[in-house]
Amino acid sequence: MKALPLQHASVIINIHREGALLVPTLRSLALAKKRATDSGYHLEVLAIADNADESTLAVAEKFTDLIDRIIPATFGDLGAAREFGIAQASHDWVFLHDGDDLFSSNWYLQFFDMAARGKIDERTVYHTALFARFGTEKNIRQMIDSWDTRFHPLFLASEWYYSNKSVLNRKLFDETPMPYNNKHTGIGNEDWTWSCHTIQKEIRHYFLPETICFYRMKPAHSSLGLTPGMIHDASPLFEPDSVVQVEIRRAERADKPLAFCDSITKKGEPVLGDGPPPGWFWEEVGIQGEFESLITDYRGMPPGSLRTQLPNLNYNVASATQYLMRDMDARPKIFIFASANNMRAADKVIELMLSAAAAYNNQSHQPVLVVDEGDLVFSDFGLMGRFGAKVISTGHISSYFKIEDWYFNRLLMRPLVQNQGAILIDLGSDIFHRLFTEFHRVLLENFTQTIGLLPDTRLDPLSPALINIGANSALAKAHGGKPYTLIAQPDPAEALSQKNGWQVASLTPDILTAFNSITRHRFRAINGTAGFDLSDLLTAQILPTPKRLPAHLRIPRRLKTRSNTHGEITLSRLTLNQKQYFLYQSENSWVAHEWYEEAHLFLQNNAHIWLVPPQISLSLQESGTYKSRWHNHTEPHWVFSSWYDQLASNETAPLVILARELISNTPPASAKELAALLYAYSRKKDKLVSACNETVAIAMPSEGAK
Amino acid sequence: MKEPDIAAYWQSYADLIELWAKGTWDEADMTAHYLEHGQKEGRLIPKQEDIPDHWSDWLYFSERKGEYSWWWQKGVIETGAYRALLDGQDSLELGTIGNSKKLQQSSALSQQALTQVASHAEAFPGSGPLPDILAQKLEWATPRSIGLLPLKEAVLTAHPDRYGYIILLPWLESGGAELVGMWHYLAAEKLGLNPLIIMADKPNVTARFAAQNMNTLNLPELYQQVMDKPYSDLTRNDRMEILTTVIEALDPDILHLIHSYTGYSALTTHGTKERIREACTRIFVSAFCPHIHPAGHYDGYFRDIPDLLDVVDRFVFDSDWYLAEMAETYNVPASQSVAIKYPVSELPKPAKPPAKRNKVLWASRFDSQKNPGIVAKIATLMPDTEFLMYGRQVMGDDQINWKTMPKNVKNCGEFFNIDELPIKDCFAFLYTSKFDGTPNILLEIGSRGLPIITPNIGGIAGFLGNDWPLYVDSPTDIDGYVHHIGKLRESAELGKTLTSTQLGILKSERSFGAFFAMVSALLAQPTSA
Repeated sequence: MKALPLQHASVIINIHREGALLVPTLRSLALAKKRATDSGYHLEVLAIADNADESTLAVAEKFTDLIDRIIPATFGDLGAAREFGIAQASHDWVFLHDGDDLFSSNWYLQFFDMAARGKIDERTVYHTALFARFGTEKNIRQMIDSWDTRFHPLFLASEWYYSNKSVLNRKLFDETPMPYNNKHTGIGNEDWTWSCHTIQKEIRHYFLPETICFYRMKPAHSSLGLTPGMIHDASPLFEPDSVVQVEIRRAERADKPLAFCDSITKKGEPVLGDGPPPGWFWEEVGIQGEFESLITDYRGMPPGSLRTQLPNLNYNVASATQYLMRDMDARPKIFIFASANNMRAADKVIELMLSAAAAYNNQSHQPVLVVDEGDLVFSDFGLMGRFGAKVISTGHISSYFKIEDWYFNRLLMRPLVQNQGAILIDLGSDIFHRLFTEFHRVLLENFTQTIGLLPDTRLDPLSPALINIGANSALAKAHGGKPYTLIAQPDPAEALSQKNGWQVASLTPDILTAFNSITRHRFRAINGTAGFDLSDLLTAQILPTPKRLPAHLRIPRRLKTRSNTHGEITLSRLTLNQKQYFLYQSENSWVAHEWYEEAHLFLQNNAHIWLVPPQISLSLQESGTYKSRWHNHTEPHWVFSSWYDQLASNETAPLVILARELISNTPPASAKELAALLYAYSRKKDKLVSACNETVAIAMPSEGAK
Repeated sequence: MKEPDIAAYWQSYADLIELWAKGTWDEADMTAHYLEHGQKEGRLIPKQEDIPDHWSDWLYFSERKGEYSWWWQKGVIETGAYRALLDGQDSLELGTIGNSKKLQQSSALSQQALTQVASHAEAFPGSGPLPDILAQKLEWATPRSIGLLPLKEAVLTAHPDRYGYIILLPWLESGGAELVGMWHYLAAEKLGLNPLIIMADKPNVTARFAAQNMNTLNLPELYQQVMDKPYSDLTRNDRMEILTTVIEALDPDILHLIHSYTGYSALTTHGTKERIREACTRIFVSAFCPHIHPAGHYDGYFRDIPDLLDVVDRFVFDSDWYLAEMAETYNVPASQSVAIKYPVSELPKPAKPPAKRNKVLWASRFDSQKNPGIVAKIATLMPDTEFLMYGRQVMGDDQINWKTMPKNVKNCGEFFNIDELPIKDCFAFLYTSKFDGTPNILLEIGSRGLPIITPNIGGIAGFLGNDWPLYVDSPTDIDGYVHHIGKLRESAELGKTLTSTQLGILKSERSFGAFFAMVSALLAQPTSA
């Protein structure tokens, strides 16, 4: 290794809205800088203030001894801001920092000292030896050398190993530019992507001994790094050829693991490398704890419970990634998602779809079947032979490769992310719904078409395919980006187009004929063919939707209605038989349309009753599940008090009530206000309350919530 | 006979389904069969219009297995409803959502209610409770009763006045926070701000504070009265919501948070913090020095400061030292912070020094922070001096083995009031704390005329100044303690001089008048958050 006469380096600190949390970071870096400069080294420190707020800037401006220049920027993207900062640096070697982490006081000095000993290499990215999480989570991860025989590059399919909090020569960015985040498309995690790119090019990720990054763990809502639904971008690392090359390179290495077998292994092996934190860690806890007291919390952990753990070394992920990517040819893809248990005639429908996909546009695309196989057995060899199709079986992934839930979705997304621009056709499958729930932005924005094909002949509310496709449609509508088209048989398509504002198309007659051939008429002969042109499906005409969609408020026409909406509440005057009553209904509530007239007649016939609420309410929890309540109206103020409490606890409670008179001079504008008014009203003397019949009010999910 | 009827016919009988599926018979053959044979055999044609509303084949065939299920799964027959119509009511119930025993059991909803749920599911496929019910996980809840509205009503009934200064405390026991709260209460009262103390965590009130007759809203106690259940049973989120609702209802001018967990939680949590900010013209927050556990990790509300900076007008600290610490740690701007010197309760005429100068007083908590164990080492080196130790264990983080204590150390037990201590019998007060803010015990001891030996830690210099001659080098400086005790024991004059110095400082800086002037100045300043 060639010794480098390194005396200078640049430090890039990306700041944004850290506010007071920037103080401990800058105090920490100031100490590290002092130790380096005291030893005769020189550091240029640049703070890139990307859309930084005032309080963050105020902090940065106080650290004049540390920061040479504060450079304002308006990227709104960590990757872009870092790239900009690197371009501004005066030196090739750059230390990269975020605005809320702390570093051991030897971080800069260790680098210069190693360079002086000729131990620094231009094609290596240097991280800290330990990555110590503090705050809402406390644990210590050892950095693993990407050339360590225990590290398999395909681990990167499901897990993040190397952050950009590192020191490196910026020429590496010339060779492999920094990726960006895109929240709209869901493609991000730029440091994860960059580590995939660089490791594929055999750039080493290593660490400086006895150095620590103290990484602040914040609640999920305030942490960009934990933005849900984001995934790292496509990388050459995961291309089929690369997957093979990785294995060849591992086989050719002179040093081989002796302690374990990396291709025949229990997924958690090996755990060698765990151990108690070394003394130099505790010394830095003392030093950095003066800057950020949360770091001292390590000392409060029970003795023996804190260990410096190796990152997960899940060889099953490497094996599963090989399974996912092998047999993928160079053509663009048509992904077909299916659950065998969600469809009638699943065997023939899947075969029909593969056949159409294989033939599409003169075989320009490779079909990829992602299937929850249920009771069916798929011949991947047979489907490859007949349709050139790649088969990914979810049961195989979970049972054979033992992929756990917490990284299952991310791993299953890898072949999709690698094939952006593909056509996605879902047959109402559980697997697609599962992926779509977490990654709908990715699945809508990065593909040529995303289609839900409902094979049902009748509209059945308990059809699992309809439930999945319906939920996907609602998510897509809430996202408001590229469309998710629902294609169904004519009758269901017609019915669905009248509701919900979804984009619905109907199967064309040719496709219907093909479907009938493989369902109703499938036993007419032992032999026969069925097929259709996939382009007919992809260009199916969207059915017109009614201009005024029937939403939650479905008051029968027999009732003369005048409605005004104030904020979340619609106040309607309902007249029948010359009697006018007042309906208060929140925007997220539904009640059967028969109820409106029943309640009206109930008030007409019961002069002593003043309010008619539903008997049962089904409210929606934040978790997305429903909770049912039966209301006792003998003490109605407790019912309305309870409504108020539910709303205060972020439950969506369905508020519907018919009143004999206006309950306030000014109409309520929020559900909470309505509940409070009803509480007060029902405490007045003689204002009796009663439900009529066993009416159910149902909370409606906010668009996209479920 | 029309086509739909014949479809219903052959889909009702397995033998006919097979004939149709294989193409052996077409519709005309089926019609002929019905007319010529089927009728005579007693075969029926179910009517399309008799299929119940909210019929689900997926539901029906989840329970009805066998031949028909196979044909349906293969896609040959459209529905199982025709066969179910012929089989009778029990069979029909299997596929009718409202009548399904399976769904009724999993949801505990009646037929009438389930029918409405089915209507909703048909209108909004994929959403609503039906998928949950199918997965057998519909939960029932008792009506939720945090009781926000009744509690708000009770608060406004009990406290109908407009309060200018609300002080949020955890409880009214015996800590420094309560004392600070009381001083601010008295100052606000004197300023005519109509103060109110809200106890937001526990209902405990000690006799000392009960005797003060301060206007107090004991939230846990009131909650128990209104809702007939303990406040402590509520979740943290529910308590935050209650406190926020109460603050909104009382609509104060100034809110001053002093060490209430519920208050800190509400003021640092998105949602409640904005509401509290909206409800109050000004928000003050007091934070005192951190607690350092024996293992070396820190605790304290000061850690919440980064999350409070955007809603707080003034952080009120009890010493310039701590203000400087927070300015350095979190860049708390000078315009957003103030240090206030809290007064001593009274300045009685000092007691005469004892004739026999052989007793040293130690009075604090028997906790690791206060370092009581070091007294044993000091006492061992001073066998002719008696050490009277008063206090009790609160944290339980430092176990003193009294059996191994030197004979000249006496455990005198708990004390509740400074005047219970034998000050007149002692010639020195020994303070051995490892870390601290501005300990009230030192102010009170100073006011009673006993010279103080202490390390210069935390905010103590804010009381005694930086040049106090009885400082030891560090909390563990045993030789220093011994040296100063020895000096005081030898020289009554020195004790008298230092006692006089302490009293002078207290008179000039720690009178209620001085404190009131500081609070008045603080309130006269504009908001800054």
